[in-house]
Amino acid sequence: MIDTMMSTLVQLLTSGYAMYMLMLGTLIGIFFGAVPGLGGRLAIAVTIPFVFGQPVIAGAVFLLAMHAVTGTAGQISSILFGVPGTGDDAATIVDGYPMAKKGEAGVALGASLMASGIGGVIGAIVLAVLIPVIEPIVLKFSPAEFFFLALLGITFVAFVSGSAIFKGLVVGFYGMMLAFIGMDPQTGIARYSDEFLFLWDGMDLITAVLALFAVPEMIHLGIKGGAISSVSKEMAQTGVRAQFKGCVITFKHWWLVIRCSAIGAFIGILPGLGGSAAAWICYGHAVQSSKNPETFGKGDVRGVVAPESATNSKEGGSLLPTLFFGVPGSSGMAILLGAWLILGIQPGPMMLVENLDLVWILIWALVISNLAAVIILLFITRWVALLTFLRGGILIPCVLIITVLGTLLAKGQWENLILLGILSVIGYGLLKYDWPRPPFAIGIVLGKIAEGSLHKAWALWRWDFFLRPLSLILMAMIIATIAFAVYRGSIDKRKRS
Amino acid sequence: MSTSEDQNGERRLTLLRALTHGRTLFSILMFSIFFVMVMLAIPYDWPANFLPFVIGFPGMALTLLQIIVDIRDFFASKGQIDPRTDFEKYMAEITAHTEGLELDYAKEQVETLVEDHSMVAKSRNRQELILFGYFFFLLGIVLLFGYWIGTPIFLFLFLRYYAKESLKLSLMITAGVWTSMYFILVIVLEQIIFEGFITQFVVDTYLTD
Repeated sequence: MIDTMMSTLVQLLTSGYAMYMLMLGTLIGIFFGAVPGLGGRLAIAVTIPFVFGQPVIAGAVFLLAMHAVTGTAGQISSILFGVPGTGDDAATIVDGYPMAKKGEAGVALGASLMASGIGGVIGAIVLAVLIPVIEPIVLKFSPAEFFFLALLGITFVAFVSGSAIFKGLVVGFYGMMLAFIGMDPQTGIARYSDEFLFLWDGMDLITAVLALFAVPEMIHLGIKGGAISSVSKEMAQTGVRAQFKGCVITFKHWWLVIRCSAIGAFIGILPGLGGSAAAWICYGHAVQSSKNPETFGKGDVRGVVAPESATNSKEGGSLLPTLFFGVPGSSGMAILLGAWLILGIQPGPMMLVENLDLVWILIWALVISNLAAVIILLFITRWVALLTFLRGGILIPCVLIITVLGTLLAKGQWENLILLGILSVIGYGLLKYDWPRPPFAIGIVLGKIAEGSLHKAWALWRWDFFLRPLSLILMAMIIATIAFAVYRGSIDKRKRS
Repeated sequence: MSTSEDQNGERRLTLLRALTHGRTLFSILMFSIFFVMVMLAIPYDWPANFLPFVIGFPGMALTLLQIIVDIRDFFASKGQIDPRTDFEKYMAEITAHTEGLELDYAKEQVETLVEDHSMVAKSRNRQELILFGYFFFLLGIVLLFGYWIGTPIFLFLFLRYYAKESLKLSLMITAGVWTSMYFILVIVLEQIIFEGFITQFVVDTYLTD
């Protein structure tokens, strides 16, 4: 095993063309990740014709590197402007953007890049370690466990709501209600969508996130005046030192990074949950496990580190079912799977026997591309961070047209512009009247998963789905989480009084 | 008699004011969303309406409680609710405790805000309306004329008339942003972005065979 591991690393590093393709994929991935609305799926779709006819290793490495680093680049606009590159980056806004407002954009970027890099590497390690034992674990997860896992994520609403648990629950429920829009898979009824065909597929997550976070923040910036950063350029932390400080801070929170990376990789392994779920569950976990949760949402670096390490480690995890079962772990992986099939790679259990070299090369490609992306972005972002000092009057229209672009590119439907307008008003209301917004994203991401899994589990086992061993474990975790939230709430109340 | 009437009149007026205050109105809006969604779910067959009910009814109950809390807060603050967001208050607190940090939220500004909330709230509301006006103008112009025609018009007008930038700078920024986006999205990535109803109509009617 170790022989194969090392020989494949040497093979990749000494193959000039494969390395060239890896670096090219990394650069293109950074671009697609950084522009809101583009994302990894579009990157693969656009470049499939380019890899057609390429050598298998070079083509596969190119596509994987490109897909793997989009999440790393997506955090830039999330932190600097409150505009997520993809839906997976939305959780980073909650604390990343307030950090930029406090003049700590450099620290936030440094921390998030380092967390992404470490997360990506840990994801690859998880992939490597789990190769021999993965099959029985994945097969243990059924819709019942998915339902309880989604429910566990939803209980984190209690933690990400700060002191406004009451309002947080309402916003979380509101997100879940919006998640129910669209064709009900059980009955075929087009809920809340009637003749609006664009809603049959459900509410577009990118549109909802842009409306809830990006537009309200820009309107608020216009009212506040000045630049995003409230701190003058001289006093702010944006340069190399700040980025270095951010990197060091990430290592200070090493245990949180490792935990969130492991959770992210695990969620990646389970098909259907996706990167947004990984990010929000880990954000909730960071708040829940913190001794001073009141600092979250106001620019706490842990709120940046946790989701970023999770979204990147998820990529390593989601490679497992994609490569060995032919079941893509996410929609991005589904497109990647298609592209690999075009290249002549046949995913399935036989990959372990016939193509183990290729598997290891892909794992190494994941590690190298993540590290390369972190290094490249650490160089670039110090200048990009200066945009937080640009006058709001110039920045606001540019961010608004990028928001509109993201909405149009996400699904290619003009109707989403109307949704963007309506939801932006509600999003601004939430911001203005201090309703916590993160529960909305948790609700909309996990509501759909919870509902789909609940119906499937009910159809399969009726009441017995509560009694499955893994269900019982997850239920115990949910009860423990709620009990902990109540306990901590009462402690906080006592402290305040 | 007159004293009692005045008192009642004042209370009625204040209750009305409490109900029409932005915070309460927003809670009422949230309640309405839950209410409408639950009502719409009634005709759906089971299990399509199961979770909308499970989530919708508690949502309605919680927002009703929130409305009561908002009204109570309004009375408690005698109608002078601080219009700043929690984050702004937090930043103001930092400013108050940090010497030498040049924040936008200067101490004087904080004090002014505390002194007269209604004046600040009015000025903020006006700004909000203007900014939302620009935003809806952007959405409208993109829907009518498409992304590539709508965005430069919006960008130029915003820069020139809202941000009060010079004509030269407004034109330069508009041209620079539009050209770079067009080059990357259309020429390099060959993306087709919504062309707008009027543009499509004109192209279909007059420019195609």
